[in-house]
Amino acid sequence: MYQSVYGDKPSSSLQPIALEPEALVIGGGVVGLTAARELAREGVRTVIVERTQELGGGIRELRFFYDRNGDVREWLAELVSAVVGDGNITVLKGARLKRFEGRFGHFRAVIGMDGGEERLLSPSVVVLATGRLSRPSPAPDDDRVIGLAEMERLLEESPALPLDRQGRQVETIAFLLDRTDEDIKIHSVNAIKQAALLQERGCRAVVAARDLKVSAAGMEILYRRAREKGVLFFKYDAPPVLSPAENAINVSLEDATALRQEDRETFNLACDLVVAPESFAADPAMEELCRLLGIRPGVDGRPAEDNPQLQRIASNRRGIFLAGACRFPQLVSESLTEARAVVQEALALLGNGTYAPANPVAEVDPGKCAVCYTCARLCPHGAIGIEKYGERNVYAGPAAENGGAVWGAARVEPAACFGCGVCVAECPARAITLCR
Amino acid sequence: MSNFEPRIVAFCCEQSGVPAAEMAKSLKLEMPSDLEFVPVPCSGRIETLQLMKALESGADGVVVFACHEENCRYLQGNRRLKGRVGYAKRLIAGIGWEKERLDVFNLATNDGVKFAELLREKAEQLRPLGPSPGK
Amino acid sequence: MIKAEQKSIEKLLEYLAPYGKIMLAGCGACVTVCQAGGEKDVALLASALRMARQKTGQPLEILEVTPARQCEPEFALELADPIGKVEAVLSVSCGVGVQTLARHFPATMIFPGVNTKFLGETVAHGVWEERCQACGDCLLEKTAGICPIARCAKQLLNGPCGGSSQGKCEIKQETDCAWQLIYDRSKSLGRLHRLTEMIPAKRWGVQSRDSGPRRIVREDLKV
Repeated sequence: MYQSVYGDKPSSSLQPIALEPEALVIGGGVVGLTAARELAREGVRTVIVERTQELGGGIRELRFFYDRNGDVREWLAELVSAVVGDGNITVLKGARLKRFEGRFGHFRAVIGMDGGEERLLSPSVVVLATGRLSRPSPAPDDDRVIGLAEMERLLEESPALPLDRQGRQVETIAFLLDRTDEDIKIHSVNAIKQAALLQERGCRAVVAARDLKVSAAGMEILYRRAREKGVLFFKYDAPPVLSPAENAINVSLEDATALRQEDRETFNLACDLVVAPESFAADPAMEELCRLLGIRPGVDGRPAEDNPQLQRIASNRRGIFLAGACRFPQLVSESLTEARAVVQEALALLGNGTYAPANPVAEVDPGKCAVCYTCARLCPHGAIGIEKYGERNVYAGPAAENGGAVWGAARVEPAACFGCGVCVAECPARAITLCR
Repeated sequence: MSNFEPRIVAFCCEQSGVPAAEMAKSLKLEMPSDLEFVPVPCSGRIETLQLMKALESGADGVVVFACHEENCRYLQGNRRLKGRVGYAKRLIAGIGWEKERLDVFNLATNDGVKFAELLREKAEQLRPLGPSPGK
Repeated sequence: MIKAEQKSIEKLLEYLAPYGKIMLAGCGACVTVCQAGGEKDVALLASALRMARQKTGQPLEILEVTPARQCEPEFALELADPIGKVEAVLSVSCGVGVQTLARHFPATMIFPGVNTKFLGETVAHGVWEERCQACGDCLLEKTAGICPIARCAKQLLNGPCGGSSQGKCEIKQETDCAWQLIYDRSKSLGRLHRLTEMIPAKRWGVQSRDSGPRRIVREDLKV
């Protein structure tokens, strides 16, 4: 009685498309390097596009792992060496994405190099792994207040007692963890890790947090180890007050761990150093990248996932993936898991060199298309563009007069279509059908 | 008139309405007897025309089960559908048909109980109106 | 392109009250794009009209046709056969299409189903705004690409009126003051000096429709 939501004719465009084993990885940090290495191992020719002249990204600030022994820099050097030496991987430094066209199966990327040179690439999949920027915390302007990165370096420079900074001995260190937003895990993990290392060197380390979460693999063990080594933990509601004291910086806080207000004590800690962790911010260049790639921007300057619960590492466009800190603030270990997840999904798409659209796909009748751009604008997956392939057009004279001209009309790339049917319903000319 | 069982056409979004309908069926919940289900990949696939045609062809009531507004798997399909239902409701009012004959409900995959409840309530609402003027 | 809006269903039912069999003619071009008279709108309107007449007990038979355009003689003549079989035509094309049909089919009443509103631009999906009034003597070069005839409430030609405030028009506060837009754009293009040139008043009596329907004849195209 009602009209079927699916058209009667089978789509002429459900033919499998050929996919070359080529990948483009934007970002040369650990996520980009790991993804490239694992793709290359499966025979996918991968190009890494890194904006700066250095590989490694944000991890270059780290020296210690929180869940195992080892030197982060050595680990990174091995990873970089493996990538650079891999015949299937091309590393382009001082490079950025300049232009990007097409839909899944027909991506075209133009990479602009620092010297002005351009490279043309045709990747089958794209991995966005551009990471985040770190900002110093808005702490008082006192040179005894430092960030996690500087503390990490201090710990590396002084493997044994005494801890020395600018000619002064450092014995008491307080970590102030004020953030309760998405950065909380990164701050907590690194602060507790560093506090435990400080205690090992004979320092007195104190962690004062507004909120503490141990929600990452190995974090409970880390916390326990820190407690066993003697790190003191405080919780506060009202922000601690920092004031200069003789040869020290005084931290005054009301410990909120006691349940009753009467039992709450105020502590004054005379510290040699206070660590106020850096905050992390989305890279402002992400907005432009989203526009170039045609992917949907999300909140807080990050790209939007297709489905934050079920498909975290996919953007809204088939073939373009997101991984690591550029998608969401996370620990290095978590971002490596995302890198591997992306590789799995990418390899599943690349398959044996072909991709056959499985879901119903939308198909435009070019003769009816008024080229109003409605479908191209509305497609939630960026699967529709205007291409010259129509034999007739509503704005031209009657068919006989066309004389073999080829007209522009909307075209749905079947491999990029998710079969939602929104374009079918919106098309003012009813020119689109959903075909199985 | 008291024996009149309204014929309801229920457009069900495959991301919410269909799983809810299946849950309602497996729980053997009571639902109106004259029901026709139309599964769609996204409520955004439903055209205003299909809502009107369903009424024109003899449905006494048409309902759409779509995902909650912020939850459309395809971004904003359900919001577009909402706009179309609004347009259709104004048309229906303009031609003098009862506005209760067309409605849209938002729910989630596990709302089997709510699904059955909403359908029963809609049948109750349609019963006193009698068969659609198109019959 | 031309932007139009469907007339109210009550009005259309009034037009069609005396008839039992009509043609509902859409158009595949401008009115399709502004969602007023394309194939989809024709189908929807036809459905609503039939349902309305079902209720009053006077069924209405509707022949739905949507030619690619209605303003071209060949497209109009494609409708010759079906028009012979109906009592009247409701055309949801712009006024041009309605009149083309009227000229070719003098024996059949052609009713307008939409109000042809303006020549406009798509600002966003579902939002269209007037940009041109076909004055016949385009002065966009002098005003950095922004038309004061179409976009200034007073059609001023030499700067804003005293009511322009914070870049908005005093007649309708949501509207941007066209002369503010012209000034800003001329400045950013380095063409501010052009605004010191006087634009003389429009010669509506000579350039425009004061002497009836205008005509363009290309002798070189006539054989």
